[in-house]
Order: sequence, then C-alpha cells, then structure tokens
Amino acid sequence: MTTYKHILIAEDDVFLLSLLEAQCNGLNMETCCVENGEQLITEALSYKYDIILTDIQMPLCDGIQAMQILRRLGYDRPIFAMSADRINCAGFDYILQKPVDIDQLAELLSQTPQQHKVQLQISSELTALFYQNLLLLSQDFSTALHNEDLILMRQICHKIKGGAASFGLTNLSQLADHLQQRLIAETHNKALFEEGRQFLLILQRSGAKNETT
Amino acid sequence: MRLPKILLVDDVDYSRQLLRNNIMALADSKLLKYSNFNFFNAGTAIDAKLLFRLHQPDIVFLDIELPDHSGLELLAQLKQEKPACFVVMVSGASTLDNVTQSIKLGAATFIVKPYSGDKILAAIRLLEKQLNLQSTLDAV
Repeated sequence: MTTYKHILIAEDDVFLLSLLEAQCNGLNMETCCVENGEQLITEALSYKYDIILTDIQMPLCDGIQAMQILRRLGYDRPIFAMSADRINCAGFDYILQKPVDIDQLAELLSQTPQQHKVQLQISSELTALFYQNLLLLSQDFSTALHNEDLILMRQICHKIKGGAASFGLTNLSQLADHLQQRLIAETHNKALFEEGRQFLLILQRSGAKNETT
Repeated sequence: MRLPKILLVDDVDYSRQLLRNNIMALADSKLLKYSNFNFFNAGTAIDAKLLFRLHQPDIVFLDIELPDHSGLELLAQLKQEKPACFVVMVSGASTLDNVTQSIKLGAATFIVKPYSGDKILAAIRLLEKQLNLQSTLDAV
C-alpha cells in the first residue's frame, strides 16, 4: 500500500496548474490534474483522493457548484478552494487567497491527514462466479460479432466494463469501455469489427488465465 | 429495531453479490451503525418495481442501465411511490449529466463503477447521517 497522499487539483489556468502539481509532487504527493468542474466531480467520485484543491472560476461547472454537488452526494473528504475574490459559502474546508502562498499551501496539505481506506472484499466464490459469467459473455460476444450485431456487442462491452474493473482486470475494462464508445458512435465498418475481434481474443485469454490459476 | 431493507437492482448477478458482500463486510467491521440488513435482489426494472411494492425497502442501489428500462425513469417512479426512500444510483459513466439528472430525480447519491470499499462506505454513511437527522427531527 502506498504511503503517499493523493491530491486532486482542478485549475483551468494550465500554467498555474503545472505549478501546483510540481509543488504537490515536491511534497511527496500523488497528483491528478483536471481543468474544469465536470472532470473534478467525476474524478472525485472515484474516492481515490485524500484532498481536493480547486479553483473557483472554471468552465462547464465552477468550483463552488462542483463542491456543492459533491457535498450533496455525501462526499465528506477535505475540499480546499483557491480564490482571488472573497467567497462566503459553506462546504469548503479551507479557502486560500489567490495568488496562493506556497508555504501556506504546503502547511495546509501536510497537516491534512490521509484518508482511511476500505478495501473491497472479494471472496473466491464470487471471483469464480465472475469468471463463469465472463466465459458466457465471451461466447455471446463471439456470436454477436459473427452476426455483426452491434447492439448486443455494445451491451456485452457495458457489462464487462463494469464487472472487470472490480475484479482487478483493469485493462480488459478499459478496452471494453473503448470499444463500447466506438459502438455507440460508429456504424458498421471494417476497423470496428477488427477491434471487436481483438477484444474477443483478449476476452477469451482473460478467462483462460484464471482457469490456470 | 427493525432491520433496514436493501433492494439491489443490477442485471449482473455477481455485481449484486459483490455489493451485498461488501455492505456486510462494512457492517461486520463495525464501520456502520447497523450490524445487519435484509437484502432483496432484482435483475430487471419489472422485478425491481414488484419487489419495491412488496417490501417497501429503505435503501435501493439502482443501476442506471437496466436491460428492460432506464434506471433514471425507474428512479422517478420509486421516489414517487415512496419519497423517503434512499436511492443510490450506480453507473459506469459518471458524466455530469448523469449525476445532475439523478439528483434532480431524487437520488440521494451516486456510485461510479467499479465498486470500491470507500465508495460503498460513503453511500451508507450518508444514509446513516440522514436517518440520524430524521430521528432528531422526529424527536423534536
């Protein structure tokens, strides 16, 4: 398990963002950088971060709205804001004045404790069930691919994407996600079916890998 | 005290089981106020509606993409039948649109798949907070 603190930084000024990133890296923190409020919300909901540091004025969804949505959804980890104006709203744990005093930021970040992490429990019975299901899905996918049934292929990708990541098959999940996006956006074409065939091979191999363990 | 009833709505069997196991693991490790729950399972929107009427669950974990119906539409129907029900929307895509739509239709919170212990804990903690608030209000 890593001992680094994870920080999510949202700032639409790319120069300032890289400055903050360098600062946090210097404090031995793992960083993730986003440039608008929408990305801030979707990243924060991964519950991977100990700290969120956000700008206020950002495109798509500003820092205050993003914080309010997260709080409404029960997100109770520290959220710090950076603002050039005086803001008066509940929900932030601390508001730093811009331009940000780097020493003050460093002090704040080092005082903020790491979040207690709860591991996902996966029993061996459940893993077995998952692989049984994956086998069935790969057979269904093979048939759907053969019949060039794009809708069924997309539905199977969707199922694999959600399940595979929970069972540690991150790569398979990402591939399923990518193919699913293409199946939504595109119609019948050669390259799409080629990716489908590649995906099927990886899918079959993912199932086979478990049988040997 | 009556056990809280949880309805799990997801068309993937092991997904429901994963969720159930992890809610129970949180309860077993004393991270929750409740030590046990009653679970009900539905794989389709039709089954979910039937079980919902029959058991009147306190909590619903509802996948946004169901084979026979949109999870968002089902959310609106469930909230209409039982406004106090605590609904956790579950989705593979955490677009702002999905999130704000869910809030607008009455979802209490939103879990982005893949599941993690922290995500499930955050959802149940929010439920407990709201129930505490409710019992304080009831006592006044």
